[in-house]
Amino acid sequence: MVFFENMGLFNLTWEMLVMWIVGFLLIYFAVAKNYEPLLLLPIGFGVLLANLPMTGLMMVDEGLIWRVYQLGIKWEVFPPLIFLGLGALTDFGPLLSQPKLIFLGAAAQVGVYITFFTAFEIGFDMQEAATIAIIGGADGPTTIFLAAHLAPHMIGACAVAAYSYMALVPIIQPPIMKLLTSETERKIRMTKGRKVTALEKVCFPVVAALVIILIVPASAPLISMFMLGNLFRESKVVDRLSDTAQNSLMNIVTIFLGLSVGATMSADTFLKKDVIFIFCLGLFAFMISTASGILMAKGMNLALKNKINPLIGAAGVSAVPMAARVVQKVGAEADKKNYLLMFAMGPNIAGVIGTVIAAGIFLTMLK
Amino acid sequence: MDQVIDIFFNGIAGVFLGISVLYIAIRINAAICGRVLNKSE
Amino acid sequence: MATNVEAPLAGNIWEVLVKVGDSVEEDDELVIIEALKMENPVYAPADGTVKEIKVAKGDVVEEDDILIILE
Repeated sequence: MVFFENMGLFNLTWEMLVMWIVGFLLIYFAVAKNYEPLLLLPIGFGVLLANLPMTGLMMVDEGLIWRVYQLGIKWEVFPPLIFLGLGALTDFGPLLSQPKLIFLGAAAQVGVYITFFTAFEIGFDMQEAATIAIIGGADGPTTIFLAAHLAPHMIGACAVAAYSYMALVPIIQPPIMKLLTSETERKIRMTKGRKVTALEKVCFPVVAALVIILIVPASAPLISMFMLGNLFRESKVVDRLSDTAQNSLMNIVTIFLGLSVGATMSADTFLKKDVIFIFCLGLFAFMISTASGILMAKGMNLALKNKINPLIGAAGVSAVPMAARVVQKVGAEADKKNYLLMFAMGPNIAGVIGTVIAAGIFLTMLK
Repeated sequence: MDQVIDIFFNGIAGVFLGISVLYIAIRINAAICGRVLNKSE
Repeated sequence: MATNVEAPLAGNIWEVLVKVGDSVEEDDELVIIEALKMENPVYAPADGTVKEIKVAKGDVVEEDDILIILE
């Protein structure tokens, strides 16, 4: 009888079955809809594994996935490694050529703080509110990084919310963008930026790392790796490292990051009414961030001689490069010969930096 | 509650401060790099 | 009078939609440039005939590179 008593089948609970549905849904979205498949697929499978009885995969000190989780997420190894790869993938050219657009990336973080305030009012504690708010930055690794520090019990829900909404950026953003801009504004063509020299691109990651870390030291784990990856890329002398960082290493980390984040979503941590609030507030954060980026662009236009197209403010939400693509699309609907894509990349990358700074500030003030 | 408002304003100010300093750094970086290149030409 | 068609943004040439000798009208799609996994059509700035094509599928172009010369 001992064997039968220890069969998983007889230890299933209905809560676990509900979580299976969540897991299947994530896998479905990844496979059939192509929504962020690189993450949602391993997360979905991780959810299934976490909700099989008696596996011991997440057993403290012993479980296989628990160890991966502990090493990668608790000890914050994975998010910085992802940032190393992102740095190697990022071309700061559009940002350096139009530095004033960097402020749009800062403006989009206003949504993060408004959501923080709102979440606290709803009844979350400050640590939880900060973790939910950072979803509005639309940056998966940063969300996981902050959640691991401030509210580890919410990692799964927040990561899934962040990645799902990033996949839904093309649906969430355009109505807000159209609501807040006039047809004439959407037709504004941007003036070309100056040419950026190769030397400037090599110096930038070093300068940026020093400056940002001196101001917000808590952002160091993410910013340092981000800029190191970019230095690999721009120095042109370590192509092997740059290639590894942006391809093999990032892929390996993505597998284990997705799997272990998914495995945190056991029925008892996920099936709470808090999760519904997390998803609603995450969406709210995305919308406010989009709006504040656009409004900042309109505000800057009051003072600028060469007007900027306010649509690119929406790209301050750092879903790279989805938000920039959405800007291009909405802009082209108004004027098909208007090419906003590269201009939108500036605020888009600035948004990544802005979100990391915002996370660093939360850490400094709440830890 | 006070702390929440504190974080709210400090946070927004902090992000803008960080980004402003980065903006200045980009400008200085561009100026210095431009000068170095001019000299070498 | 020759008109240069320049790349409005940097990227890879995804497809060249015209041949030398084709006559095109203003706003016809000439070339598609792929940037950030997005296909961006480049339109004819004016009516004319394709005199020369400077790029081929797969080429990497920088902003303002000449793609096609119209006549």
